Amino acid sequence: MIVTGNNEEEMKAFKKNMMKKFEMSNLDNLTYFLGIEFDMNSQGVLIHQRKYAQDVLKRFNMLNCKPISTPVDTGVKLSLVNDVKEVNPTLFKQIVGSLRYLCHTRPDIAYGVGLVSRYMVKHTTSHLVAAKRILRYVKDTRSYGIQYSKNQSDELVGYSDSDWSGDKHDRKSTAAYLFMIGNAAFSWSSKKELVVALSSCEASYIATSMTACQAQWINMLLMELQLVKDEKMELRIDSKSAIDLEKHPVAHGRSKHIETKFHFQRDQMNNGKLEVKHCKTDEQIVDLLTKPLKQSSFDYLKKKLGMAEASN
Amino acid sequence: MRNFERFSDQAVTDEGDIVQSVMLAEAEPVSFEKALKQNYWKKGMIEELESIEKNDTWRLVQLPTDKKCIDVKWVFKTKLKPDGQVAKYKARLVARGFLQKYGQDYYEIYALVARMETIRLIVAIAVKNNWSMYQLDVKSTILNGELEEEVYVNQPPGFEIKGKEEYVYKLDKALYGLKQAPRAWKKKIDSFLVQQGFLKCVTEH
Repeated sequence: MIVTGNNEEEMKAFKKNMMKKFEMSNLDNLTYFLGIEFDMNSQGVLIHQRKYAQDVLKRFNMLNCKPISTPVDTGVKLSLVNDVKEVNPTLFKQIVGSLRYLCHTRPDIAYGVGLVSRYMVKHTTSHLVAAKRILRYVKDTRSYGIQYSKNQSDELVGYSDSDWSGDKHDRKSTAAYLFMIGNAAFSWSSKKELVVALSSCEASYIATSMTACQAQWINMLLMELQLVKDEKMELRIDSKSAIDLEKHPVAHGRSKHIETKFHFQRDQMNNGKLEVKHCKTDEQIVDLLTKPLKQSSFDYLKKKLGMAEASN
Repeated sequence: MRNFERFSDQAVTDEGDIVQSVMLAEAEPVSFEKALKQNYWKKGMIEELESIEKNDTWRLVQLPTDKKCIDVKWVFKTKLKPDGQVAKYKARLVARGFLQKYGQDYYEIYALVARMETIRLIVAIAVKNNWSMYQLDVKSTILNGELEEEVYVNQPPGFEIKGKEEYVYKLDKALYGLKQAPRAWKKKIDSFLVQQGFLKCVTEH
């Protein structure tokens, strides 16, 4: 259980009551919770999973592997059909499961992990190699996590984007969102869309509707905690055509077939709960969650979303 | 109190790890017969039984004819210090919950867990506002939960009471491994927190 608040006295009293009622084993500052480490440093708190990552590497015998600088090969082509040699399904599923848990403090591997998790039904050597590549990447970056700082701003911004028919097998696109508080990410997702999008604009539009749902939930949570009064959240996307589609509800040939549920964000915008802004493609942080990137841009975006290395 | 936020963690402490290892059958490969002969394991088992007794977990009764009984089993785990030395020989008594039948031994088993996103968001807000954050762990969390269902378990192997071998234990509180154990704990902590003046977050549950 984590307790925090602005009133030390009340927290002290609560701790006392807990002790009276239950046998307690820990009442100290937050350091290790659900496998996540909380490092207090001069700037604030860095959350990371170094120990968990280390255990995972050990478990899969990857402690001595050759490290690599990005989790996903830019030319990666995974499919359900090509090579035939199947690998041990249990091993593959164990690796993917462990990696998924690691994603709790690691948005940088979220795309890669999402990619390999699509092949839980059929997994061949190429899928195992892709999964192991993520482990190789983790090896040298196991101390990385997200830095939350004391002097960050309160500003909440959501980013949303998608690739277009990235899955060569069923031609579905990958949608992703990422929410930042100040200069650190706290909520993200990278997920294959459930329907086939006919254009990149449409793919982006569907991604925005996913993002709008998440934005709504975050807003409700913050309102309940009485931490925000203004319920408008800013959403940044880099697709001008998708923004146009959101702002001008005209049904023309290319968009008239879009399912009603994907117009959720349009409604949210009209209600003043969302504000969609355009951002330049190279400022689009969420790129990290929709496609494999080259090392230079990968490292740049990683820093931008608040990832840093834990000391010692 | 309104600025407080609470999370119910589902026993993801050392104890929770043991529960998990029971599920994964990754506990230490110590056979029960062997363990009985080893003094340190025996000591661990006695300690576990003492804490169960102290906790008023169960009562020795005769099994009603229309009721079924669930087996319990010992799980052994050597706890290590960070430097690799043995810290403790821990024996945990677990119920074989997979033998439980729905509608008879258990009903609802749903228990809440916190969303990771919420935890990250709260941490970010706490850091920003310079609030201190504390971590509270309850010992043997699961054993605190009170059971609503009538559940009977066999006497633990190796510790049957002489002359009363036919008797079984009726559980008043949960044991590790029972299907409803996490829910029983959640109810307990829930009512306690509400009594302490906490409000439940409607968006989160």
